[in-house]
Amino acid sequence: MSYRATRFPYIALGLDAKEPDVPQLGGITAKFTAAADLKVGDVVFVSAAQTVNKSNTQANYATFAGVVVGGVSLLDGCVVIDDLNCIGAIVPSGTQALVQTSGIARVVADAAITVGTRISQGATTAGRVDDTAFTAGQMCGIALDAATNAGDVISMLIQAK
Amino acid sequence: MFNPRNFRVQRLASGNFKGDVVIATAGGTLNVGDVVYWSAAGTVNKSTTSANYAAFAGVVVAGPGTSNLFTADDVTNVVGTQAATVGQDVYVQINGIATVQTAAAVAVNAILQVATTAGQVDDPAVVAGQCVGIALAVAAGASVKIPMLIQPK
Repeated sequence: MSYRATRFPYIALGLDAKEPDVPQLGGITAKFTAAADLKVGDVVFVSAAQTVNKSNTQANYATFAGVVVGGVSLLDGCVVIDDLNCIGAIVPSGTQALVQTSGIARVVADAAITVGTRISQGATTAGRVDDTAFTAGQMCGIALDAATNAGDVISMLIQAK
Repeated sequence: MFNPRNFRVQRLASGNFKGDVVIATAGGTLNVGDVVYWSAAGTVNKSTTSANYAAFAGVVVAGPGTSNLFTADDVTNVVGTQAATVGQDVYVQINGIATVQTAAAVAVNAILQVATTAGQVDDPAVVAGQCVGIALAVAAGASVKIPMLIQPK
């Protein structure tokens, strides 16, 4: 099937770009098969054909895919990017995960994080981010909030580098 | 002038393809599925020199040769056909997932670069700054069409 590209000049993330208090979250998602039980908020990498997984080995994130924001069969296929109560919801192994590949997403800190730092997978809990030493080719994004403790939820500008 | 549109989360097409496109000028004859780089102001081209892809632009998805229609999932077998000749406008997909052609065998989830064939991808030793994306399928040899997550780094 052929498609004609739509005109698409500028976009503003968030519910209403005119309201400064609205979280600036959102982006483009793609479907991938979950290689294991994944959680909303996990950073994931491409692990096999059309498949993503998580790990506490940063080197695996050389093939960073994005952030899990939902599942095709989870919450009726809705994405949950700004409801902190939904961060951590399970996308079961073998099902279709919705992975946000660009924009700004909510992620979970693996330890304390300084705002503005480049972040990647942390060493402790798979799917969580930390601002450990910069390693070219393995970074997932930039921390837009600070985290004080492991488990804190912060916003990340998705930017593989 | 434009007012930016509210935009939370956009899902790719059911086939898991598509993304944003820009219109550039073709610096040479380009085919659908070619990975291209910025070679001059507003101009894209392809090359066998991986270093040129430090200025990676994206993947050619349409042009006058396709009546400016693109077929991201390639069910009509358009990938590999001519999209534009030098000086013509060409549509370049800059993010999301696109179909590309391999220059040689490629492993799934490999980090892709351009090597031996202009515009086609391979998975040689990674050179930071010249990578164009991640293979979402395996290719057994040259000229195999695979989906690529566009991810320059």
